[in-house]
Amino acid sequence: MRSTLVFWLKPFLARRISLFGLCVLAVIVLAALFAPWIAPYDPLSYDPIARLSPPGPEHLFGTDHYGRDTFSRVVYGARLALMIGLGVVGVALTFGVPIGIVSALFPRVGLVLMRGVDVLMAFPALLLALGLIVILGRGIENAILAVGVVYLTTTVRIVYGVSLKLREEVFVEAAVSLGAGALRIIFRHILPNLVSPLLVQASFVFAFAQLQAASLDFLGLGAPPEIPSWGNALSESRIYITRAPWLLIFPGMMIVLTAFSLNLVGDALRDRLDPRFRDTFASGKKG
Amino acid sequence: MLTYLAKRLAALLPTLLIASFIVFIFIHLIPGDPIYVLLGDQATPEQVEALRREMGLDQPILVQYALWLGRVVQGDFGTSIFFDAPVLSVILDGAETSVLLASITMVWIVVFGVPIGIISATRQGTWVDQFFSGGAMFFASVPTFWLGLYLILVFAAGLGWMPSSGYPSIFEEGGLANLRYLVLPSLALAAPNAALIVRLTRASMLDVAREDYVRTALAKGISPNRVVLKHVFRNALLAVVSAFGFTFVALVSEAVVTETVFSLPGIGRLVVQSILRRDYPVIQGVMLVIVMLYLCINLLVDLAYRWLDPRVRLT
Amino acid sequence: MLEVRDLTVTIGTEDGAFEAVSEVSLSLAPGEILGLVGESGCGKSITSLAAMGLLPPQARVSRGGVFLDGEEITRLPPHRRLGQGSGRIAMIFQEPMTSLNPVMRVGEQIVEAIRVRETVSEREARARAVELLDMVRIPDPARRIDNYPHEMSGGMRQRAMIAIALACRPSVLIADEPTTALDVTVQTQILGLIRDLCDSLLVAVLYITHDLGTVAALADRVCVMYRGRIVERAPVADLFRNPTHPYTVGLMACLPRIGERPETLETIPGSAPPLGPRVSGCGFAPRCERARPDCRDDPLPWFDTGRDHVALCRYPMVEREP
Repeated sequence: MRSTLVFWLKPFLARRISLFGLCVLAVIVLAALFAPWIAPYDPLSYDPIARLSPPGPEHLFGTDHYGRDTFSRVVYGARLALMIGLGVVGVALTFGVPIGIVSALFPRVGLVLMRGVDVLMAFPALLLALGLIVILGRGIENAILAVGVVYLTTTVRIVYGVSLKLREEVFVEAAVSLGAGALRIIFRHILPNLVSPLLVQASFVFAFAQLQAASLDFLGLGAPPEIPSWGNALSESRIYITRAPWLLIFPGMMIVLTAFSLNLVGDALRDRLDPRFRDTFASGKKG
Repeated sequence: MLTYLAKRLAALLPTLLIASFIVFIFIHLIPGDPIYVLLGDQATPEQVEALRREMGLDQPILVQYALWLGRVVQGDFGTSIFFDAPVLSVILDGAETSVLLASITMVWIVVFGVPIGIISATRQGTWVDQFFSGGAMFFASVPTFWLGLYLILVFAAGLGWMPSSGYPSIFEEGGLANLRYLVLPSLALAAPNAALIVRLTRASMLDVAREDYVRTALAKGISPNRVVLKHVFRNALLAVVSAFGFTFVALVSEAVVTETVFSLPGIGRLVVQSILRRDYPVIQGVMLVIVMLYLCINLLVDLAYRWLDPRVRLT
Repeated sequence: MLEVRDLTVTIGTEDGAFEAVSEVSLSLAPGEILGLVGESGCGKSITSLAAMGLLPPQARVSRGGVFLDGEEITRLPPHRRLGQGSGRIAMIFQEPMTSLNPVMRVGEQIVEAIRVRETVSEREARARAVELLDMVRIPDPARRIDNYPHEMSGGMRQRAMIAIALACRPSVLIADEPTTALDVTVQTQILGLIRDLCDSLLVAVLYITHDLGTVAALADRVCVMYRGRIVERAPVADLFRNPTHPYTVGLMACLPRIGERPETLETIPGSAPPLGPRVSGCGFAPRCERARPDCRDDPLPWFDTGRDHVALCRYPMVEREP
């Protein structure tokens, strides 16, 4: 058990920047969990007297054009960010994993399904999400679903690739020749081997979901305007950019930090899991 | 070569059919009667009746699709509710801006992305590599619109070097000098995509550097710098070139946001405005155009790949 | 001409730095083929890469050195060796399938090697490339020169590799298992080619292999390596007649003999250990039937048979066992 922990932590300890990513994520999770205790103001309450006040002791990150406290809105925004990230990863995995495995194990079905995935990949991510929003209507759940479908395609590709390789591996063929059923092969041989690549993929999807969801918010087609998401904060304040630049700095930095940290963590995990990358890593450090 | 092209085009056909079917079905998935989806609420009974006949709404869905496809092939993409003009001409109005924006962005991506990737790979593990790799990851994590807003704040509102928004055509007064309107948008749009190309170039350079033939080249006594350019880079380029289809998709995606931030009269902003105006025929038309463009670009990438890789060329 | 003296190579791994090659010494004379034999992982490839100046970044020469015509070249990568006297080292590698650049014509790759050292026109270089292809017995060289590697068979690619190696007019040729990836008939042809080139061009060849049979057919002298050390050095005939180190004896027992139908294939008990911290005394002792406690003590003595034949062993097999 301890050695497992060391195995996972090693890339983070070896590269301090990855550790930084991990810490940022921890802070965001804490902010999301304890938002009501951390935030000094109600993120929704208006204060017309304190409109557009700059950062100061009263309002740490300043206030917006309604006099709402930016710091509190940023803290509550962490909840949205986590929800969107987890939701999108959830959608991508729940649909992506079965589609990928079935396509790999049953080539006839796979031919059709993978062609469909290819076609979906021809649509630019945001355009596909926008199209789905048009059909489903605006809202947080629909934004999650729409972005989730976008990253479904890459997830299916990865699962399909790994499963196909595993299917041809000796141990799976051996299991088949011993009369193991499809379900047994999936649970005993394929799923365990999917954990690592999917973990890496999940952290990247989580990162890109932040950017896509923020774009939707910015275009006014994501979360409803009253929801204190980071994207909405930017969308509402863009006309005040010259008068109150702080309104854009803090929520924007949060999006960048979250995506950046997730990319760092994903990179570190991939270095650990992909033996090819691990070699370069070792030689780069010692050579 | 020609037979190959023909074969590739034939292989594209099913993808094109499925993609266009998805685009076609889009209108029918929008809640409400497709007739009113396509005509808007102010449609007259005559218009409704005319369109109902044209679309063959009483026929099976596949027949409707065939009818629609027939019209599309003839260049009839429907009529914009908002502009009350053919969708194709509405899209073409935005084409100049979007095509120029994409082209300039591609130049930035190639000019910055590829060399920085090469430098990063050749200095693997040094502070130069860490700086560029870290920078690439940072820019891959920055929302395009946010970067765009700050470019406007600094270079347009602050320093006054560049115009902050809009784009008059190069065929109007000002001529080619109007391209300066596209400098900031193209930089904002290039940043995340160039970042991905940096990472990709670096990774594939390092991959190729492990190949046996690189060792052979070094054993010949060729200097490492020359080996990097002549042997490593030429092979690494294959992976980079094949990623350009994907880059195009990412570019289009972010162009939607960038054009909105900089108020450029392009196709991307047209999509967003059409969604807000419920001008569904335009959305449908843009989707179709983009998918076809993507397939064309993938074809070009394929041809470039064949030209670069003799192993593929002769099979 | 090529001399390796007390060469010790250290490799850094995630678990620390280990000696992959310890105190290896060998020398080569013109027109001679020296066989370097050992199991995979014994350090023979690292030795050859060190001689070539192509060690991977994790590895470095920590002691000893490589000398060419008396000049030290240990830390010079190949492109810094251009001005080093008349002597030049060239190398051919194990994998002909992957050792040629797939996007360059074979001719370009030979021309490139010629023009690194000689200022000749493109046309002269090309003419010489055709000559070289002819020399390595590639049929129709004037046409083959414009082939891409994937249009050639494995044997032909290895010939092209040899042509590239000869392009710099080397005085020493290092061949790292050049026939392992090839069919048996092609193997014999390549071995014949190397022997002929060695005799006609008076090149010194360091031939690295795990196969004692190849060595018997090709080499003049042999060095046997185990765990990063040379454990026995002898003229090829004497080695096969009087193997002296227990490891060499074990290796020979593993060779199936023609005409005999063995009950079982002989093996050496245990397996070659992976790279790890250096143990004191004889590295082979854990697998050796003759080992006694003092085999673990340093330093080990060189046993000299007096026939230019030495073995690094405290209890060598001086007489043939019944």
